Amino acid sequence: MAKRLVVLALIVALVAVFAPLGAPSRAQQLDSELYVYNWGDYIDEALLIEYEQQFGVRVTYDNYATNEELFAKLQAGAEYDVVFPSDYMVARMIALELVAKIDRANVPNWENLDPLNLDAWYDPDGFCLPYMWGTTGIAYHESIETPPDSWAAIFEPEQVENYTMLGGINVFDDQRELLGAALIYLGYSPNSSVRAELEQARDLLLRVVPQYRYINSADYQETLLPAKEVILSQSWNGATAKAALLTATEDNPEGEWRHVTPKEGALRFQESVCVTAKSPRKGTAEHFINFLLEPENTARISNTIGFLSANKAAREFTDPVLLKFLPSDEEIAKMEWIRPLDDAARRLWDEIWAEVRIGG
Amino acid sequence: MAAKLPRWAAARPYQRRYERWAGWAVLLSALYGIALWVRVPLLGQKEFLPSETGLYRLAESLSMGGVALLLATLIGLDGWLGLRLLNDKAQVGRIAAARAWAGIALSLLYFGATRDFGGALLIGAHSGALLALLSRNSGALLAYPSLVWLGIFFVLPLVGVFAASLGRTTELGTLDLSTPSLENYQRLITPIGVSGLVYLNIIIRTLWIAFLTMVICLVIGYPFAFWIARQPERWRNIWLLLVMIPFWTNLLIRTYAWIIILRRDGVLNSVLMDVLGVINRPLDLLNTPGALLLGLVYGYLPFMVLPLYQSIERLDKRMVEAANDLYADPVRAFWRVVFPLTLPGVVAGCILVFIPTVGSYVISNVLGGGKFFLIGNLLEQQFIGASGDKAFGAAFGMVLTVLMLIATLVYFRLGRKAALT
Repeated sequence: MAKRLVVLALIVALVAVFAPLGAPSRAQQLDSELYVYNWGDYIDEALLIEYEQQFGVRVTYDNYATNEELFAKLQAGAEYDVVFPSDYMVARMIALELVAKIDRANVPNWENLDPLNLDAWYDPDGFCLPYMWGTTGIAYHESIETPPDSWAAIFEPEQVENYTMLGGINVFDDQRELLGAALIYLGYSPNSSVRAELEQARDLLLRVVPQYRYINSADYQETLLPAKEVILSQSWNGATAKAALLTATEDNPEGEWRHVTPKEGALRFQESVCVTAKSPRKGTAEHFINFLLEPENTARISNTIGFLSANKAAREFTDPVLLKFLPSDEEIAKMEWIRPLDDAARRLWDEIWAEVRIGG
Repeated sequence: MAAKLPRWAAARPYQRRYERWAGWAVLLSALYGIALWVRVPLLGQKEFLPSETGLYRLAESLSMGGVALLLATLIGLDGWLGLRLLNDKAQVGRIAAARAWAGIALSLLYFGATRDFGGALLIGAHSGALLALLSRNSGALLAYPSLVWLGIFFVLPLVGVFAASLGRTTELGTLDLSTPSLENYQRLITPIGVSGLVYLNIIIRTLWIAFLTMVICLVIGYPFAFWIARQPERWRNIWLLLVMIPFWTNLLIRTYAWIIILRRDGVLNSVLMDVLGVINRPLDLLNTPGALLLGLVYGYLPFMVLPLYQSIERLDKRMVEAANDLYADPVRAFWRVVFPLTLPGVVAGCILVFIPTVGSYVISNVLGGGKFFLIGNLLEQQFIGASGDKAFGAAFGMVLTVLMLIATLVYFRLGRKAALT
């Protein structure tokens, strides 16, 4: 008798454990698991848990730090379903057939997306959907009396000296960003492959690089800016926003950090959300993407990470502090994308970059 | 294949024990074959197989029936061979050796066809083990696992890196090996713009920092190890434990801890300013060469202390007494007797500090604020950074590996000489 009771209890326990997992997934025909690979700090992780609980899909979530890292992993055969490459990497992955075309009928929330973001150079056939976007400008601490409005702030020796005395400058450890900004300041294309233009950018940088206090594009918004290790930084607008959120107090709800898009122009970027070509769970992946594109959910992601989304409908749920970091239409008109370089140009950039880096 | 076997794999005078083990090994492989046969062609299950994906791809291209036939043949051969090896007095060593070589060839073919590393490893490693058993050489048997390990995780990747270094990275970021050339190596020694030999410069400055770290570690570590070795016996282990305890924490976390100490509003500055009042504005301690060296010495000091302690502790005290008896003053006794006798420990400690320092990347980035562009940074930017030129990164990595190999060989030579004299 006792034995039978134990067996019965076991069965009940087993059913209780597995029933909630099985039931909704059968109803919605979702897979039982999903592999998501995203930038570090680029989602509200509570959303993942909510998705798991709501739909019974176990989400395995991993992070990468650079587009090239994601690319290397996918090329080596890593089996992720959903990935978030940036613009130029999306173009490359489409060319190499690493991503599958999202069926927009399965992602009805795509209509929330801003047509301006959807219509990007890197994805003319609409393989992926835009996720977050932004621009590289200058972050400055609120204590600076006359805010900078030009790239001169980080490239002209007198200004660099001034800001170094006030607390120091951080610039990006990224050749396309730092050399690109210098090229824009000099009035050239940030995708230039003209040796003379790049050498001019190099000479500009070599005069100021030893003065930079940090060369960090990995975690500056969380380590350097809130701790006031620097007072001025090359920065993505979303990262400046994150620093502002981190320093916000009740007396100072807008935080200590401001952002400016230099008058000479700036680089812009956009991350897309894609389904990998190898994914055997395309339906579930699209379902997950649709979940992320719910206006409330996208807004929650923005409010957590600081970056603004391509989701127009999400604006009303977004923290008003963040919306101030949205560039104006005139500013956007002057922005340029990072474009792929050909073989010779890439080598030239690499050599110029090595010169700049050992000059520091 | 059976005709020209190397001597060590061919049958030698009868040794029952090895033959029996070889028999069990082959039988085990037959059993595994049966398990696969039941699961894959019969039931169509593919979960929890070490070779799930590869076998499935094979089944798709050959048809399930073909795979079933292939597996059945292998099972039959292995079963027959295993039973013969176990029971028979007849010589089947040659057949078994042929089976082993065929297994290795099969594993390579299998990898080529399916790109299934796990499955190929299973087939190849098993066949290699069989060969080692048939060689009746206990030395080869004992070394076998580490040889497989070294082969798979050191030799093969090194060959791969070398091959990649001869290639070219395409605009799409893939590797093009169709026209191998030494161009990437040439690039390393081509002067650039206004800065000259930039890449050589990066190598030399990295080696210099590693050398400085090594010397500082030695200067700090030697007296410390000496002091520990002269403590009462029950205290020594406690001191050694204290040296090792930081290792229980991840290096990255320990390095970040230094940021909290060294930054502008950090522990050190507030002690100096608010408690002691010796300075009135915070010092910029981070991102200096000093901070970098501090981090490196801190991180690698235990690698110096532990081998040094070992060789000092083993030092025969009577040698020192003899030196004193012969009127050597303490300084002379140290340099003529103690130091040469502990040289093996010095050499070991120096190698253990120098080599990881050359490759270190985290410490220079975290405490150097990204301002020190060293070998590790260059490699990172080529492989997972914006430069994205894998072929060039591979060439750089090869040069580094060869340099390290030479350094190690020189050190070992020195060490052996020191041990002999």
